[in-house]
Amino acid sequence: MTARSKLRRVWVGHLWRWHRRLGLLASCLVLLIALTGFLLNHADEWGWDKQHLHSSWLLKSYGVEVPTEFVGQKLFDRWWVLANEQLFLQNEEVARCGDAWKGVVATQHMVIAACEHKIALFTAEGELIEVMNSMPSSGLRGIGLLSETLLLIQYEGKAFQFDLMSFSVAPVDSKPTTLQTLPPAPKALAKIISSQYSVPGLTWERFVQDLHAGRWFGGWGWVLVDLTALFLVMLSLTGVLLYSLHRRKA
Amino acid sequence: MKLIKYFSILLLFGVGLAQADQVFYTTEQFLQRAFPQGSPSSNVVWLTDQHKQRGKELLGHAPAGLRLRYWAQEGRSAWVVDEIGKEHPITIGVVIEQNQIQMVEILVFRESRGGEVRYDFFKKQFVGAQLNEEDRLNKNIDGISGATLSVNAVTAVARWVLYLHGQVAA
Repeated sequence: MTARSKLRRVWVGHLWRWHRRLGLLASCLVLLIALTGFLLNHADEWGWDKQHLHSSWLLKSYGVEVPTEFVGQKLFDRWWVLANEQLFLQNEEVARCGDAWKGVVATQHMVIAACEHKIALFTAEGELIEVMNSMPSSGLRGIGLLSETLLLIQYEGKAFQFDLMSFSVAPVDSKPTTLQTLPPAPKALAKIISSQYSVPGLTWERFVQDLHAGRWFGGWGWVLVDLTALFLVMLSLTGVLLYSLHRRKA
Repeated sequence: MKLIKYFSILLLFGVGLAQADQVFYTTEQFLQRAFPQGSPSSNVVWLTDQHKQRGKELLGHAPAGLRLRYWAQEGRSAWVVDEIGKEHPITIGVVIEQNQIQMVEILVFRESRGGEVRYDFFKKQFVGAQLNEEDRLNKNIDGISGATLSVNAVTAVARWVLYLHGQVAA
């Protein structure tokens, strides 16, 4: 055996060893990226883009602490619970708002809930009647009833009355005493609501996207994705080298 | 751990930014444009089972709510409807006269992508559109790449409101 062919055998041995190691390292990351990529491709079909994350552990990984206590109001013998951006009738979500719900009151015929962006009217059974989404100001503090057809919308230092029939809004003298103080919801109910708590924008699609891009693994997650790309490049190069050395030998 | 928390807060801040409402017109401003002589008081149309069934066909899902508010004067009607593009509702205003669309306006846009539907080159395509016998608009509406879901939402609302105008005008 000549010195040259000996050197070549050593080289090939090294290349094979590194090729195998790189393949093993890359395989885990490639599997993760391929699998999450496959799931992302079908997220629309499977409705994952609309299904919110409810797991307290996953929400915590995004810095969201799931509350264990909620306030609400018992109206028509059932609890209407304000869970940040979600509004529940007993343990069923009936509406969402892009901001926290601030109050819920009832007339003889309907339930009215308000958040920063809208006022929503419901039947006693929780069916949505209509939404008013043109709020007169920003910084909503709460709502109260002025009469069977007039709702008080209270802001810091100013207030408006909202006609529930014509949907017209007019400024009124501030009457903060009319505002309700919401009692805490029963603990058993709060526990169920906690398990259904979610945050807008945090869907399963978002979670898979963050896994796919390595963002979910924290500040250095992107390094994983970069490493995968690097491993794949090196795997290809060592593969090509091994192939060409093998061919030359043959 | 600190890095993860820092990153999570940044991420959620990003989500919050993406969801920031872009308000182009309030309902009052839209009504002033729809009825320059002075806006009429509002009416409501109660959505019957038949309306909801037609809504399902025209919107692709059952319309939310039991009633829908509109403003009408001398055969001209204005509607403000929320429709979800991908995740968040887009508030769309439509004005109809003689069963033809006179104006489409985006009042509030809340999606993170697809905001191109607010531009005139897109909205003007709807002017003069009517519903044909197959419940489609009789004018071709060119899509916008990257804004397909928002384009679909505006088109669906245009069809739904044309149907409702026909119902209340009859």
